[in-house]
Amino acid sequence: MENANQDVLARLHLGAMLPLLEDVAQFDDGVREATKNWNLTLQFQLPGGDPATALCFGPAGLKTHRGGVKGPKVTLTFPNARLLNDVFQGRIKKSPRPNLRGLFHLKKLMGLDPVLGKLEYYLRPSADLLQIPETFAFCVRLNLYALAFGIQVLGEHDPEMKPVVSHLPDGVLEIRIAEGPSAHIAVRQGRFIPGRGPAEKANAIMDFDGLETAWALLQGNLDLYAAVGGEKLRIRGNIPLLDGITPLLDQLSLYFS
Amino acid sequence: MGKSDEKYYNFNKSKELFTRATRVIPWGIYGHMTPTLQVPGSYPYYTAEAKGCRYTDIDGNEFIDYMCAYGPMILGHNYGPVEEAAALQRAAANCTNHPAPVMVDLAEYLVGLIPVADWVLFAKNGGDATNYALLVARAHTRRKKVIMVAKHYHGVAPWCTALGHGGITPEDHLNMLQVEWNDLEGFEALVKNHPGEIAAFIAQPYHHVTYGKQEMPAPGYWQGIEKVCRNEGIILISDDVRTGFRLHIGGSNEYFGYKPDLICFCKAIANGHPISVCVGRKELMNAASKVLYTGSFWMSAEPMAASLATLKALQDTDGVEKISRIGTLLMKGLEELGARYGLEIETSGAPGLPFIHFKGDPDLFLQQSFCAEVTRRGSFFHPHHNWFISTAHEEKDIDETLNHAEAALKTLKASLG
Repeated sequence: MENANQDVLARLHLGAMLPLLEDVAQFDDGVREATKNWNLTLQFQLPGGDPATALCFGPAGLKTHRGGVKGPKVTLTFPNARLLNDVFQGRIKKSPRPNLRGLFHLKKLMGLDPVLGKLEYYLRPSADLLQIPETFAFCVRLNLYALAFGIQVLGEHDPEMKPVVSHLPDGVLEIRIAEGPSAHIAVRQGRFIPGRGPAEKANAIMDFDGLETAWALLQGNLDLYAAVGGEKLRIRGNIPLLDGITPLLDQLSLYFS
Repeated sequence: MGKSDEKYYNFNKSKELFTRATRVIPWGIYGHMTPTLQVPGSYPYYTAEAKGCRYTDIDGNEFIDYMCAYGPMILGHNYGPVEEAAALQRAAANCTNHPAPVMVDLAEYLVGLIPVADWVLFAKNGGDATNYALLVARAHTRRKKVIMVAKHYHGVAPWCTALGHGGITPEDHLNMLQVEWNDLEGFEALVKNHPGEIAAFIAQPYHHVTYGKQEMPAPGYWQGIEKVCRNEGIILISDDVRTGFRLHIGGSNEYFGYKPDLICFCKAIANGHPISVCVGRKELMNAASKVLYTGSFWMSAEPMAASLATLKALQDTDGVEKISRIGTLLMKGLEELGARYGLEIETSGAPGLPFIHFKGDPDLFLQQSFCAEVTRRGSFFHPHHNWFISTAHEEKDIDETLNHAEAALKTLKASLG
């Protein structure tokens, strides 16, 4: 993988996947239990702090901050994007050494691996896991958020997507799943603002008929046109906005695979 | 919902067949006819039969047709004289080792009909003609670059398909430059910045884009473009594939007052039979002869006979005038209805290829609902693409459609509270 792609992938790991630990911590009893007494802010980053994502563990649970925070207690700075990607993809176990203050939290850091492992567990669930309705619904939700955050990363940082993004109209795309979660992505002059839940006002809407169809899309296994024609997916409003974002979805599937 | 005595169509058979299609055909229905561009649930997917300005889908729903197969059916479906000419030619010879004499007859007819045309090359689809035009322009000028107008549709060849679509690479666009519609200064600047490099300028006669308001050329635009092209040795290509024969029988450029070097026609030229043409000035005939271009069915005689019959019928009946008159009735009728119900409808484009949008509806939510409501009552209104009028449409058809539109507006008004 070329350096540019490594950089994009690292941004996806930090900007689209790691923040979802917040959702995992709310859903997964084991993660919540394992981190209940962690009172620290842990920031993952590349040199210079861009990209970065901070995990703030506290009494109210885990909050994540995409882009990082000022003055985190512990900083894990990966020397380069390739190493970060290798660690996140489980190809190597060698995490970077924490900063000095982090040395006082080594025990917690030792317990981080299984916590982070839960991300993979839910983002790439086994077939057995998907048989549990509640967990399936959660996996769909988690992957939907990953998609929304991932679109931002690709839209703003993937050189291959620049020509596509340059023609994208401004507006807000809302993605809704019947009896399931929703997410939205605002586009403003080439900048992307993703969010969990519905938009205040959407310019384009994608309505999935249920979790199964949404899951197929999130796994890159859905013929969008066939789904729309078959009324499994309803699209309305500013279709050029939706059309323009579709290549980002395809590109995201490539990275996530 | 509308009044209880109103009849709404259902599309169960269309949906069933589409489900089968999705198992064996990408998209189910691909390209410009994909249901994705309409409002699934309120639109038919498959045609059973068609006659005049009406067609019936496989669920038995009849529609007054305002798409005319996305343009080709300029005389209406199954127009007798055209079908008879086609049948006669098919019975004699269609696809053989050689062209039939009708090829020369049609070429001569087109050269007589189209003021710009000194020669003609036949192909199948509009994209064949636009691709060919670029090849001829490059062969003539020995230059590489081509200027096109942003968002203008010239087919699905890689040079004119936007990045982001499957299989398209940045290298496919290396020699393409873009300028905004009606931006004469921008065009001049591009030419100035690429001295001696521009082979051609290709554009639609006016700005008819999907999803957007149609825009006519600004006063002096085409004349300015033509002047720059002449001065700089740039080949001017008019892509009249969609608009051809609905504004002027000699090409839409005659309507707007400019003289291109090459014109591409397709769609309406043979009332539904598969044929496209590129016509050109005599100065380019030598370059045209250096371009290798052909296809398995490009010499088929039946569509040529159909084309000849179509063009003659259009001339004999003054079809362009009728299309414009009927289209104007529809546009004005919709505007008046919109005003009556407080949902202002704005129309744009040539009357033969009208388009509507609602004022204050930039994302087209209202337009999508309106077109769906009209369609499921029996008049096929595409929500995003310009419509097409044929000579088969009569005033009574427009009246019936306006009734559908009024009922749809009442429904919309009620839903808006």
